[in-house]
Amino acid sequence: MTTLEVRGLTVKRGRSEVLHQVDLVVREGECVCLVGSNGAGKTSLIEGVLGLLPAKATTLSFLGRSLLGVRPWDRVRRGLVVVPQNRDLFSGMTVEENLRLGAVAVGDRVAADAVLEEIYELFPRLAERAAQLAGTLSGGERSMLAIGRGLMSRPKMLVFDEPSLGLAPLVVTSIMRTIAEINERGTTVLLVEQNVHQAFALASRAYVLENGVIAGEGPTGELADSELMRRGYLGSAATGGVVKA
Amino acid sequence: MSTVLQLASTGLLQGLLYSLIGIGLYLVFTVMRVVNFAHGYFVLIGMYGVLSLGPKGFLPFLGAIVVAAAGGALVGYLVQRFLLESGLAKGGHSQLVITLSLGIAIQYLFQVLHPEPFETIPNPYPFEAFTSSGVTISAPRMAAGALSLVLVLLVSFLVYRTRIGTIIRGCSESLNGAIHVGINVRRVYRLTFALGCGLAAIAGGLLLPIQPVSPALGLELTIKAFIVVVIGGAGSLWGTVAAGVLLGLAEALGSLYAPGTFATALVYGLFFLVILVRPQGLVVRAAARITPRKSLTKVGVG
Repeated sequence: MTTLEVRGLTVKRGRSEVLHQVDLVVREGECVCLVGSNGAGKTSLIEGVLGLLPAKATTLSFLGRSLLGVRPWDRVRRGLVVVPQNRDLFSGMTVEENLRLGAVAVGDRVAADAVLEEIYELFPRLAERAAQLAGTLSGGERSMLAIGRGLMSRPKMLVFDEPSLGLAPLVVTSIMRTIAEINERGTTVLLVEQNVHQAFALASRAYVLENGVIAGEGPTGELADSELMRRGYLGSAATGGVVKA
Repeated sequence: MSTVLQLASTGLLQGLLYSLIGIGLYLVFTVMRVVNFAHGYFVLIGMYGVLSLGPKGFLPFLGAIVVAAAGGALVGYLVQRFLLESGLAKGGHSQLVITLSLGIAIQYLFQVLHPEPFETIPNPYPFEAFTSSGVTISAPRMAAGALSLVLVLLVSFLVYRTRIGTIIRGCSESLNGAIHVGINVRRVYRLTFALGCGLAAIAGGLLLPIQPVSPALGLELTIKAFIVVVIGGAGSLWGTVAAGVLLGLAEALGSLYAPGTFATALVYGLFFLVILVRPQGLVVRAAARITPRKSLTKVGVG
């Protein structure tokens, strides 16, 4: 079953069109990644899908229902949750308050306690810091909190916007492992990343975004060997080829 | 000594009323980053509302306040729904122009409806003045202070102890964060604005038996509410409450040292000094300071 279906998506940021006719499909239970360099339009795609940026599409549907004309918060309530790039935490509130706010508008109140326990198991660090203000957390902890908050409403699909951004390599590895675990537990995942190696290791399929258009797509195994990826993303191989010749 | 005590008690009670007016403005400001320059005029709506209902006796008076508060809240809701939301979409300083013009419009409306200045109602309470150790407090003043305190406590309970309060604080912390957890921020904005205006109207009703109402009072009350919020700081509702009491005390005790109008000037001068020394206000959270807010439109939901 298709979880997210995007056809002919065009997104505008201010007056300029930053995404042109993008097609993207994520099926139930999948972990799909969307890679692309800085400024390719990855965040714009997410914001267009969530309704934070003005977007036009021939099809934009989630779990078989159209999202067109639906307010962003109602898209979240349907189970489409984004863990944003800059985390957007409630800095002046405690870790636990942040987590509870994750379920305030969506989840049922009785289940919230159980989910909270699960999240504290997943991130023991958050349990230690439960009473601390979110604004005083380290980068890695902020990332954990943003993910935990996203999980609180038991979403059908989680979209991660650059979860590795600004984090130390070891922290990135641990966050990626958590994302894999979240996916294994049954949540559909769309992972948006600049870090191609990490993303490809996790996802089964990938989309490559370049200058606002999808430049390639396919199973990560095949895509990793393709000319497109060698040229643009996987480092020395591309220019290396030219230099050798 | 008894003069000081007299002035201090009067100032304290008046200050609690300022706190009540201030928290309405505080809520709207921290949640929406909108400075409602019409806030004092919503106090006027409460005053004129109660005045025109002309309550005879205590229960009708309370009833009139409830009606006036509902009216103020409704006007606030409509203002947010039809003026500010669409105004925010245009960006720039539209909210400033909208709330300022709204205040002026309300003032002229009341000037037409009530050309007679300094109208008031007789003591609606079933008791007369209190006297104790040389201090005399009139019934309306005592009751206004006490009821303001109760309302301030109720609002703080709402904001810090209830689910809706958590949602309100969430919106004030991060608009985008609120959207990401599925909060209907547009509805929260409308309700917060309505709540702030309703509280102002209640304060107006309580103020009426103490201070005769004139349309020009709106500006003065707006400025006082503004002072209370700025002095209180953006960190907590309690800063606003404390600043309200301070303003009341400063006004009352200022009259000890300076005659009439000059005392008012002295008070404002004093606050000017406070702002110079402590521009962040009395209570500031360590982790999060108020940051400029993207408008709803900029995140695509305006």
